[in-house]
Amino acid sequence: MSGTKDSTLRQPICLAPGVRLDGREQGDATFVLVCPEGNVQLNRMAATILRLCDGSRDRAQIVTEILRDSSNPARPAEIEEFLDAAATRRWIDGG
Amino acid sequence: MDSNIVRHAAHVLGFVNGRGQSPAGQDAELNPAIAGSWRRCALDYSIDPARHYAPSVIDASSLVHRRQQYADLVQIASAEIDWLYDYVANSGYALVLSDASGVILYERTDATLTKTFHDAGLMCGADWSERREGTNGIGTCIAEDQPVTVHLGEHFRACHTGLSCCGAPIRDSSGRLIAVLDASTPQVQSARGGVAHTMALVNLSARVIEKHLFLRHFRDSTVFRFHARPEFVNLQHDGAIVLAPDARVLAVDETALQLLQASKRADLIGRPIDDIFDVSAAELVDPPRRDSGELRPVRDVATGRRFFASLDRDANPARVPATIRASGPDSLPSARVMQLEPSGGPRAALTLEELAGADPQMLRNVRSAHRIAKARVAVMILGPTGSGKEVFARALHAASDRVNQPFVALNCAAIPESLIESELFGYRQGAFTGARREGMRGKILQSSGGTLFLDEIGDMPLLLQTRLLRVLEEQEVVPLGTETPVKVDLRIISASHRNLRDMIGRAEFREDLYYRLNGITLELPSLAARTDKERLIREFLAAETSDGRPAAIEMAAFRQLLAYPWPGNIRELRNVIRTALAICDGGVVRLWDLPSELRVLAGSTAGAGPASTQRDDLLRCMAECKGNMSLTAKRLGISRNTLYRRCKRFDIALAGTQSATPEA
Repeated sequence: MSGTKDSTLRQPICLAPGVRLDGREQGDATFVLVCPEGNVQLNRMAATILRLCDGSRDRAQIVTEILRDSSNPARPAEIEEFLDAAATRRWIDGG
Repeated sequence: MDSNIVRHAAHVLGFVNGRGQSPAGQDAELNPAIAGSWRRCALDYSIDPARHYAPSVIDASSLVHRRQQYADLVQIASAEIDWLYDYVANSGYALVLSDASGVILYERTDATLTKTFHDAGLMCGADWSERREGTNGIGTCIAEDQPVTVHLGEHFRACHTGLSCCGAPIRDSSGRLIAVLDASTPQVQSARGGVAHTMALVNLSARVIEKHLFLRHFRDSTVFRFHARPEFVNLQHDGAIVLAPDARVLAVDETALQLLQASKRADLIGRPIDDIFDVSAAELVDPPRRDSGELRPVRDVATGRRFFASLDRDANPARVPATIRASGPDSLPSARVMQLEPSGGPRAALTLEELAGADPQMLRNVRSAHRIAKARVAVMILGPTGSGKEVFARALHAASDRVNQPFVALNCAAIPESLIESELFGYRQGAFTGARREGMRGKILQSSGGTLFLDEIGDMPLLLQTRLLRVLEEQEVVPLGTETPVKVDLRIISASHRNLRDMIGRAEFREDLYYRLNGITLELPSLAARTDKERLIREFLAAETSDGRPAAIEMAAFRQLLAYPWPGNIRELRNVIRTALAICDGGVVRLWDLPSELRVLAGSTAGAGPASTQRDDLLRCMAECKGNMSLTAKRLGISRNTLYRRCKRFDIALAGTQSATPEA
């Protein structure tokens, strides 16, 4: 890991300005992320991850938090990949 | 790039076909394992080295099922892989574990290279057998039953020649290959020396996994562990011998074989331990004396070599991966096991309500289905291919009072005409050549009391239609080769995507049978005609990621899913979503993760949208591709010529972007 990457790992993650998670559940287990560039349909796990991006947790804490809940069968690598993808698309800041 | 593919393909096929003639200099050194694999790929599997095949990926629920099936393996191996990953982190490697059929069960990938590896098909659920992907670290390791390194151009398929792979077999206590541990890197500059180092690491990790599996398997047995050097006893490189209560050898691991210079397990298994070492068997199996945990010097009777040995009831694995150690050997680690379990157990069959969704026609169907579910009314389900006729039939069966009786399905189109008769009616022993000796009960008898589902009933031969009609009228069946009728309690659901009325008009389907089968007709709408399409797509997305994988789909891609006419209906929808989720980056499905026919539609319907948004979309895509026109065209699913035409139409200046980034 490069130095910059290491320091960003400790940064709290929050949703980017103008992005919000629509709390209203659409149909079965699908959620919507409202973004300036167009909305995004999320599944339950994606919504769970993004809901934890409230500025109070860093990346590691988010992953731990999700794994702690025994009803979540997610894999750490997949959570991190999703956070990477979300950061690339500027849905989140700090990740 | 293209010329490289052609050159590689010509090289590979030239080698396979030109065998026996003087090989080119490079081929003279070709590893026999690779040469053998190339021949299998070309001659046995007829793989075209130049063609780009889509990766073959099993669906999420099968993957969950497989991981459960190999729970011990996945748990032990994933901990070891995570450990190994820390060693090779940031060196551009993917570490994957496959089962013995080549399907990837677990992966750890350098985060920066996830996309590269996924594009290459290295992801959970992908099938990397030789038959699928040609010569590669996983498939060739399985086929050759030995560790292999497949370096760049040694891959059979041109699309994999950018990879270097090291695959090592993981064996069970009988020596059978049960899994492969593979390390792959896309770094072209990776030298052979580096690959050799990786191979050594991978081999070592495979041994560690094997050892843990072995000890886990025999954790309740007495294990005799030995090594020539006392400090190695109870570490992963020692030899392990499992003893039966009478001190005979039950099982040995690979290292024990090597240390004792035995050529095969059978040379050791079944022999008393004091036949192999100069120890007293009585002393070994005597409980009060053997728990000292002390090392004792022993001698191999056959060769006189000296070893140090310890004996433990509780296998005491060295370097237990942290996740296992944390919770002790018997209570399985919580976090990791949870990952292996699906969210709500294996997905149960869908109920009628779940099938109905919110579509009015489907809701009508479901209301009718409920009304007749408990009656013995024959149901005919009509609907286009892939609209879910069999799934509906199963749901109908589940809603009936026959739910605890068998649901027997026969696809009349899928089996040869000549076999439909025996499949349906069964036969007595020796009824015809090739008949099974004990006879067969036939689908009708099997389904008695339950439900018989006849799919593609329109493909049933006329002659058999007559016999089926008789069975329905009499509620009894006469198996082939017998004269005694057997009473049956039949409930028939039939289905067809063909228009049976037209077939009756052409005298291809018996009218009387039609009315017999058609107590009630339920017509399943095509996916395009369903009003709840949007909700269905969301539900499939959720269902396909029920293993807890985060998933998102961008609006542009979602709109395309909505707009596509879905000629293959729900089956096609499910496959498209499944594939998109498998190949997308970070779980986010974008337009170019969809198959080309959906993207082409994006191009053609673009004419309908306002020109300004089209222009914006195009500009955005070009910006994302950093002005690379080939890439832009590929992502939009259009040819480069079309892209240039479109740019001209929208007045997008090209000169600057083109000269700024010369095309690859």
